[in-house]
Amino acid sequence: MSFDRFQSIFRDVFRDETLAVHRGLTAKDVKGWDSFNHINLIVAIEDAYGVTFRTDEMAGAATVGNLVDILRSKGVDLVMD
Amino acid sequence: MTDTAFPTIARFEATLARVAPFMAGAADKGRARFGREWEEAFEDFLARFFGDDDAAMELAVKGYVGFSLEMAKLQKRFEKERVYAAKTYAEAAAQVYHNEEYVNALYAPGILLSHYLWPHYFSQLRWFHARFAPLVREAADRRFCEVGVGSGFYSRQMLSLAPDVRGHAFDISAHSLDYTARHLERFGVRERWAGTLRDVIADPPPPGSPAEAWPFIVSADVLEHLEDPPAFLRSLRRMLAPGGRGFISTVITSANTDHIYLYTRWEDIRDQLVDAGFRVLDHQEDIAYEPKADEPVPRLAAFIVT
Repeated sequence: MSFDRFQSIFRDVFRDETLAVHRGLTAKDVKGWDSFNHINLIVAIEDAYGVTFRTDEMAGAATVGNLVDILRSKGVDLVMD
Repeated sequence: MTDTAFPTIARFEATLARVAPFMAGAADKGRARFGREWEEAFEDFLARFFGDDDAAMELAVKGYVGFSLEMAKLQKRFEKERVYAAKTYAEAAAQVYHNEEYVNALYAPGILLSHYLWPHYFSQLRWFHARFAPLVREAADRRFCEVGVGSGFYSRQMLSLAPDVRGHAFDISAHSLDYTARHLERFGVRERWAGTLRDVIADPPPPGSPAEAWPFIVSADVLEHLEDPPAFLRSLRRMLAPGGRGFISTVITSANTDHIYLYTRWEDIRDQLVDAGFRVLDHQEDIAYEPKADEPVPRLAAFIVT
């Protein structure tokens, strides 16, 4: 799975075409990453990759790195530095 | 953002920002809408419930985060499908009410904190104290029964109204009753309350028993969990003493793991109350947030009945 596709989900949800997504990125760094958009992000990722996040996974996804690790644990081969 | 006059709120917000940065502003809505009244109420709750136990606070924060996200995700699906996910009462009971870990780690702390962090819930609490609490204070017989106790939030409100208020609760969840007992213990009102496992639809209190004649009945956010709310309301009505008063609330278009019965208008709840034999004396309705377009948003309706 391409990183570009993953990044484009963030850019769509947060309506920011310049958003640079990296493992350390967290809600503190992104304008509009509140609980509403956290769910929008989770649902968009679920739809894009055909996976389902458990409640503890949604709650524990505090950084982009957390999200990537969760996706990998579900068999999504997401390449990211 | 924080005020040193409210140190426990400051601790709570710092914990929330660390555990779930995307919820860092969760307290802002209550503070903005209700001001110092909200700050004083939330500070008092946090200080008495958690004291200086940071570990307990962090566990509750994590539970609240999970509870809120689970609900928000289901609400998002509900916005598209306009129906709650199909589930039987027995399935919801097994998944939630009889699941000790779920109740203690997520469900009860989620409910408890939402009464402060969700403005429509705090609005209902204010309405309860403005309109229902005076009825209790003015009564000679201040016994009450809460059916479906959840976290014990409204039992605690009732017991705190006067030192001679005594309460009983019926619930199908032993874990909710245990959580409530611990909750009430921390507020020093546990000895005036007792809880009993009972499904008041399948196993209503026997006619002529003391449980048939409560001067006050409370049932907060139970109807939406049932397959047959009218049957439940008929049971409640039989438990209310002549001239007694009831406080009954439920949610409208608000999805959750164990929400089964969908109400779309407060008038439908009122009609069910009337059909069950109640007279509606007063009601209030509030909304979780303003819709962006025409999507259904969670609402909360409360009724005072006799």
